[in-house]
Amino acid sequence: MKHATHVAQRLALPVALVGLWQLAVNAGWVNTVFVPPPADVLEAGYDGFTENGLLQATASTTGRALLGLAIAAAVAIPAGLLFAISELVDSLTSPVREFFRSLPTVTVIPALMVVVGPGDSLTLLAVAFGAVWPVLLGTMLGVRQTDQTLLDVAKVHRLSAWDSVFRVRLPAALPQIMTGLRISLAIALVIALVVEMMSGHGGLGSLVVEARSRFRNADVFAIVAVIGVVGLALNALMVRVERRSQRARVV
Amino acid sequence: MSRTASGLTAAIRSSLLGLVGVAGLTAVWAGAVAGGLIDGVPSPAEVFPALTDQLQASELWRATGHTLGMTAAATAIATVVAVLLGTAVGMSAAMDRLLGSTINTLRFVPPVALIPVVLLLMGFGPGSEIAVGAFAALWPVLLNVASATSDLRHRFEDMTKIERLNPVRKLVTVYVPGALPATITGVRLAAALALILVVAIEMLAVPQGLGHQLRFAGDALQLPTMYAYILWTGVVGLLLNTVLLAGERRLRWT
Repeated sequence: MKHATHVAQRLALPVALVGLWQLAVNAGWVNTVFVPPPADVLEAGYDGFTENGLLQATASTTGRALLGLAIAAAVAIPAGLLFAISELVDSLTSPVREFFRSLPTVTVIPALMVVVGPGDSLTLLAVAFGAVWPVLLGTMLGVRQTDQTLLDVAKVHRLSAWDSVFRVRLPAALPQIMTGLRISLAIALVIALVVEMMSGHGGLGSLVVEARSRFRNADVFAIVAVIGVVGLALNALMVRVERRSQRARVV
Repeated sequence: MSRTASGLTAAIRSSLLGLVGVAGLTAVWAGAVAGGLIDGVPSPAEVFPALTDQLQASELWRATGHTLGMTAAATAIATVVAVLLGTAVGMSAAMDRLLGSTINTLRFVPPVALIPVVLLLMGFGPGSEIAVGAFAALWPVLLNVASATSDLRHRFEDMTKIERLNPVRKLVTVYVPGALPATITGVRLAAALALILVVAIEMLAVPQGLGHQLRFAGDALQLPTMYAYILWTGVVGLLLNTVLLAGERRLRWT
């Protein structure tokens, strides 16, 4: 019984918000040209998936975000390891890193567009540039914080420098690396969308811009809802992977 | 004494190495452009004069003021809303059940996705910039306040019951001061996110501020000016982070 009340409490606000939306449309508080009723948005979403290529656009945006994240990880994990181990390289690159990390990633998109032109490589480069920082920081932090006992054990067992890095420090840093990846994934999705919005090169971002320019506002709302669901789903996936990596610490 | 001195030497050494790194990167950049390794990138010898030109023009400063103003407004609004919601959610289990699922759904919506909808509702002006910036800035503050408050609730539950504090006194004497450090950290993260979103919406739609200037120079193919604006935006971001971090440290000390 108590459980049922709790579920009802959790659902109350979302239901109330949709109700308020419907009411605002019915009572004429908002212009239905700009704010379509919920039923129209649902219908636009259904049509989008069945005939207007919404599924393909979703797959393409998600794929670009994930591939860009993979590129970012392939750069950031070795680089983070190097920065954490070598104080010299860390000091040499520190101001440059701080600058690029503070630079809003969206600003490099027009510059990249001039160099590589609109297309998949532009999206992947921009996504990787934005997603690289949290993984880099996570790796550096994780490797630096490796438990001294573990390092001592490695020393006692006379592990080579190579082995102590790849069999002790890197595995010990895994939880922080995974946290970095989770934060990076959210950034990757945002950057993929912005590039698509700017270049009109397929995906959910260009679909939503196109719908807006044609005043198909129910489509705009439906696509935005789909983007939200993609964001939620990708995060839920990463949280699972992150938890698993934390449990699987066999060092 | 010798310890602080050696610490100072290490700091000087590391700053000098950092300068070497910056100089090295600039040299690589100049070399790559001169050697024809990359097309479509202006050389540092073109970009730095363009930056000094822009720094003497009023447009850059007006754009910087606009973007920072929008960032500040968005952060301020987000902070007020987030502190209220976060305290409510953290203090009461019932409020958590009521608002928690909605908060945990909305916070994973990529803020850029809202840009088209916000433009429909609020038009191509400052209102849209503030709304999108505030949506992004809301979550770090809200989550920090909510978790700090609920920690305090669990830790001090018994104590405040014994002292029979009424809810208002409990709020003023326990929750607000207790959650303040987490709130300040949240505000710093929020301002950085707000800046990113404000620049993004300026590049995509609203014809004002640093984002617009950057895009405008790019569309006119004035590449040195565009790179000057990219560098400048990075400097503004870096300064904002540095100032907020220093402010956070100072506030935490007092």
